[in-house]
Amino acid sequence: MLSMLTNPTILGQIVVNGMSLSSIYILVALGFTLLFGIMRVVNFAHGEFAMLGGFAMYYLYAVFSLPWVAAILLAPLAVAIPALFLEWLVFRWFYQKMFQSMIGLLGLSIVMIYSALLTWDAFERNIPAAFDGILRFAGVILPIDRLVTIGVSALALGAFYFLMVHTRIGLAMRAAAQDVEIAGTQGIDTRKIYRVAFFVAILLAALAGALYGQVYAVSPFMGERPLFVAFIVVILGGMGSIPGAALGGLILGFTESFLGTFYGGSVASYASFGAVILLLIFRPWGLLGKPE
Amino acid sequence: MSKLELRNVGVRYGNIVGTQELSLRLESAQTVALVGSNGAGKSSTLKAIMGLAKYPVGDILLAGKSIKQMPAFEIVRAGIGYSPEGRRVFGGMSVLENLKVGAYSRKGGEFEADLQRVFGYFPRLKERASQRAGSLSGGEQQMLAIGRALMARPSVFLLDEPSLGLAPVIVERIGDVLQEIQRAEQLSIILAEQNAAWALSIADQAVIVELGRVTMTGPAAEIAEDPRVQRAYLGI
Repeated sequence: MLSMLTNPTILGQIVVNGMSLSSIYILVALGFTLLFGIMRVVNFAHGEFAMLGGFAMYYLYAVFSLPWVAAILLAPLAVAIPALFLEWLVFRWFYQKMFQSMIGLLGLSIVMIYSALLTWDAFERNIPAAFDGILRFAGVILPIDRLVTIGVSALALGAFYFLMVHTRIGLAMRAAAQDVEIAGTQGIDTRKIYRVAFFVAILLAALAGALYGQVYAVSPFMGERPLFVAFIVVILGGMGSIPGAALGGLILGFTESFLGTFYGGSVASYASFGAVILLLIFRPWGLLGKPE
Repeated sequence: MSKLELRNVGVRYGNIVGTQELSLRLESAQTVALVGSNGAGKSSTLKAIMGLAKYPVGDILLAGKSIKQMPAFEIVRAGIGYSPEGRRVFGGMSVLENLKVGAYSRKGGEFEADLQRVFGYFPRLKERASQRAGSLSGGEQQMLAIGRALMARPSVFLLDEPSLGLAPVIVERIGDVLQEIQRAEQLSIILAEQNAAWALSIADQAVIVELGRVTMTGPAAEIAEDPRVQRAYLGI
């Protein structure tokens, strides 16, 4: 194993895979933690929005043959805009009601999965790779599609960071995340902030699903994995903590890539969930969260 | 017409009574001290005005217009500022960002002027502008909570227990600045306080609240001389 570790090709592979996994995980987890941080909603249907992102990408790119860049930009919008109807129909009733939201949105998740099953059947669809081929760099082999995943995620994360830190609406979202009642008494329209946060969260989840679906495959059940991942990442980092979601995503992505390469996927899963259980026992507020 | 008028406001939290048929008037450019013991209904009264507590009974009028069904942000836009009990500054954000949130309801370009105005009242906030609000002392956090509300340029200002947990020297300083602000901006202030001696010393009018009802009202100086008030609230 030591010789494998010192082999630059394998090491480079682990790093690139780790980063591309991490970047997808962070996209999913950021939206999940945003919904929890601002609205105290545990979105059990988060993975299903990623699934819809995968299907949107499948149709736009594989069926309608749009240029890849157009497809990856439109797919998240194609999910997030109609999702505003679900916000009005379902989500808004569960804001600031954590426990009710878990049950209610678990129900929504099941409704979405089985609606997808009725519409698209259970078989997996593949989205043809947009960028096959490899890049050789200093003896390290870098698959281009993974690099593109990393690049797109990095752009999305950068845009998200800019929105949260440098805009008026971002300031209002951060204030609402800290103390929603007081944010209202300082002149912030919290209903509007909820809708914006919801839109951004679904946009990120659907983008993650589109990227994930292209690397793996698209099916009605593909949302399960991103949801688990979002849970682990958010618990690792601390519920509601945005830097925590980034840190948690990196840790989980690299752990999976590293352990998955050397010991296989089941060991990687044991390690991830094991780490979460230990963390919940010894530091239940997560790595960057705050004790309540 | 009064600046702010509460008519028979009855706040309920489920079965728990916050206030019962509480009425009071706030005149323009006047400070009213709302004095009472813990649980008397002071906070509930201010929360009802801000739209944070429901009151199925009664009505609240701002310059003659009902604000009963308005959400908090519209009440702020109508001209009411709020410094909550326990200060509740945004601890993870900088002092400057807290003040920006306070100015959120004011679209347009006078942010810089408002900021200098607040820094003028509280030079301490200017020194600490880039610091995390959570790292400030209790007194500085109270200054920030007041400054944050002032950024919206309110005409009515509600202060809930600003003296809570602060050293007497700091309380006196905050009282001085409050009076300065009140004069400079012609603010109408409701000051809810357990520290009756201090509140009565800076207010024009006083309202004594017990068990969610107004039991006494009048000029602050007269109320401070009342033997029952002295026994119950001033420890004389």
